[in-house]
Amino acid sequence: MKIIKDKLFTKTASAKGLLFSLIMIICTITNVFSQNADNFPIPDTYKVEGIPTIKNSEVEHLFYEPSAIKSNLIWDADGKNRRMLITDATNNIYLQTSPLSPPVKLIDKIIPYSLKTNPNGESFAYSSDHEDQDNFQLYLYDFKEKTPKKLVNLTGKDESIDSFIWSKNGDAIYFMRMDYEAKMSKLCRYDFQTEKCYPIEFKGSWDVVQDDGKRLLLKYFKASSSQFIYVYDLQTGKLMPVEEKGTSRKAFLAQDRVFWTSEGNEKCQKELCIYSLDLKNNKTSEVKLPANILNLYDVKISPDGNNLLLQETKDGVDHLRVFRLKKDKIGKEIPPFISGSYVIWNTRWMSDREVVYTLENNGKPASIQSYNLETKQINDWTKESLPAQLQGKVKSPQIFKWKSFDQKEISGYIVRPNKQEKKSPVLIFLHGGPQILDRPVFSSQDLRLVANLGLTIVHTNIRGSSGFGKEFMDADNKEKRGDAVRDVQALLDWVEKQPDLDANKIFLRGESYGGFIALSTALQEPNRIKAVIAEYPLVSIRGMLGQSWVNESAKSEYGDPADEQLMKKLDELSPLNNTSRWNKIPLFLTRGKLDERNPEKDVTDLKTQLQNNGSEVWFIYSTTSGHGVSGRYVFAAMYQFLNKQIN
Amino acid sequence: MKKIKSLLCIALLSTFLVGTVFAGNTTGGNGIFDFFGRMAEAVYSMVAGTETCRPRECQNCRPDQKDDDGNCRPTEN
Repeated sequence: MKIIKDKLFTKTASAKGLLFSLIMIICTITNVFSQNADNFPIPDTYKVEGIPTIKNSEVEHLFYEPSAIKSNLIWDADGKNRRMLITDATNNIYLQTSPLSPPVKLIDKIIPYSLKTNPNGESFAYSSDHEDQDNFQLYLYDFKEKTPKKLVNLTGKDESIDSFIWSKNGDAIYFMRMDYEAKMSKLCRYDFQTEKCYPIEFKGSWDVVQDDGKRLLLKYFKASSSQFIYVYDLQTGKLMPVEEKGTSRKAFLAQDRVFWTSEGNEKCQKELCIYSLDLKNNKTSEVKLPANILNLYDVKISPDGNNLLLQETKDGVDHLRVFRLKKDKIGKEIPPFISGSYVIWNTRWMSDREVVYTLENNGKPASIQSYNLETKQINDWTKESLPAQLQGKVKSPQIFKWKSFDQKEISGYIVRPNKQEKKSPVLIFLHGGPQILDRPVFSSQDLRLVANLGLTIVHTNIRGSSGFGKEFMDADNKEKRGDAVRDVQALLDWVEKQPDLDANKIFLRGESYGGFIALSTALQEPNRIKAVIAEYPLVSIRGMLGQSWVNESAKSEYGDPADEQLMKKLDELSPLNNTSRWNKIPLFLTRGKLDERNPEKDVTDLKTQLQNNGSEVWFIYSTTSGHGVSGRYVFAAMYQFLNKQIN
Repeated sequence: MKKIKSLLCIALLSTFLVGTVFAGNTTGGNGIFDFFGRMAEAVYSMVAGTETCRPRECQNCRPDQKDDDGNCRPTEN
């Protein structure tokens, strides 16, 4: 009996032990699960290093319902049907059939590079590189079939369709096949049955601009500040130069004439001029602009060729002006129709009498309007909306200027918190490119950083940016790269003099090329920079120029890799291999695996060198991204990084 | 055995309750699933205009996540 009792006792004891162990395991698993569930998830496609676990509770206030924000911009207008293809905040493609009607989603999960409606209104074409990064292909969306399809196959090792247009009557598409290996462009035509390439080869990078039924307007993109206009006769196959001096950004065919903008030639040094070439008698004349036109940014002619839409940009604010045009003479001006300070995008002539445009500013998401020249009526096609937590958080952008080391005037704009009780930490933003222009557009990232961290964000257009003329755009080329860094150093001096800014808390944020400038500035300024955010940055110009795609345009900007003396000078600016000079400034760094613009090894080497140097490095590596790594986790991590460095 | 049962029940109940608190949305939302159902949207910065920069040098608008920030503008042309 005792033996039985002992056995029973032993069995009961074992059962108790087993149950206790089970409970402990369940408790542990559940607690671990619960804690993990409170962690902000890292996407499976990311590998991160040096980033502390982010709690949902720490960042959830940064995010909001998608429906809380409404921001639309124009992809293109369909004048035939008086409707538009528009974006939403994530650049899907929607059809907007009438003012304030609900947009109809046509295509999502693809961000086209360029989209153009067929003049006959039956379809639209777009280019996208979603299949292969940086290799753009052509797609067609037919409104009857309602399914996008790829039009032509790329066959070369590194081919891309960077430019396309519709034929005048919409029966075909003209496009340029750019071969980045051979550095040649091929002009082709696709009539939806066969592809025909013309027996003329174009050296370098070319754009096809317009078809008037008899001839094509082409542009040779030698470099950002060296763009030349040509006319290609479709019948004779002859290529005629229109202008091969200075630079011509814009051109169009109307009234059997070529109109083009010109800058940097004998006549037009700094101000943009417009010329006209009569194709019947080959006579060139200058289109005299009204004396009060300043900083001409864009020119578009109405479909009938009788009205000219001019866009001026001054201190970050755009103005639209419409003039009558007769041959090469500008006539009477239509009274101004936009009041308020806006950045204006993607203007289009909907008809001979109606223009459409997108309006936004740093506190207002983008919305679309149209203006009828005859009825003088403005119509809202879309209305913006903003989540309550982002409303009224920032002051109107302040355009500001500072003098660089060589007295060159550099400008930017400042986004300040609406309420400020003490000196504000400063985030200096450096854009990529460098040949683009940062304008005070709506940015929910800015709003969230300003509202939640009390930051003042300083957007910059340092030398090399577009929008300030050819000389300014070329002022950072090749051996002058360090001058762009000195622009930022001069900005640090400016910040130190501002009573409301905390010069002890200056952060640099740059993407792509801007990342290089941010890193390079931190290298030169070991004591004035508190932390750096470098998103998919260029880290070595020598390394970038070693990539097989590098063309004449890139060499014009950065230099010839065979010029060893120049390369050594540029190496001095590069953070890579100079980390002994890096003053342990904390760094937030991102990189996409599919990024072929910069060698991956350069970025990972820089990361390792800085880690070995004892620097704090927050690193995000995305296995599915290319040149551009973004998303909720990146923003949450960046917010946490800044929060840590500020406090 | 009763003691073991009640101990087990208390332990499991406590564990789940604690777990729920950890999983909950501390700022009054509808919990973890609602939170992850939200989306960050940012219309950000500037566009690489085809007139000043080639797509391979300036373009950085990438839909690398389905809920990407959408940091781009349509190309101007």
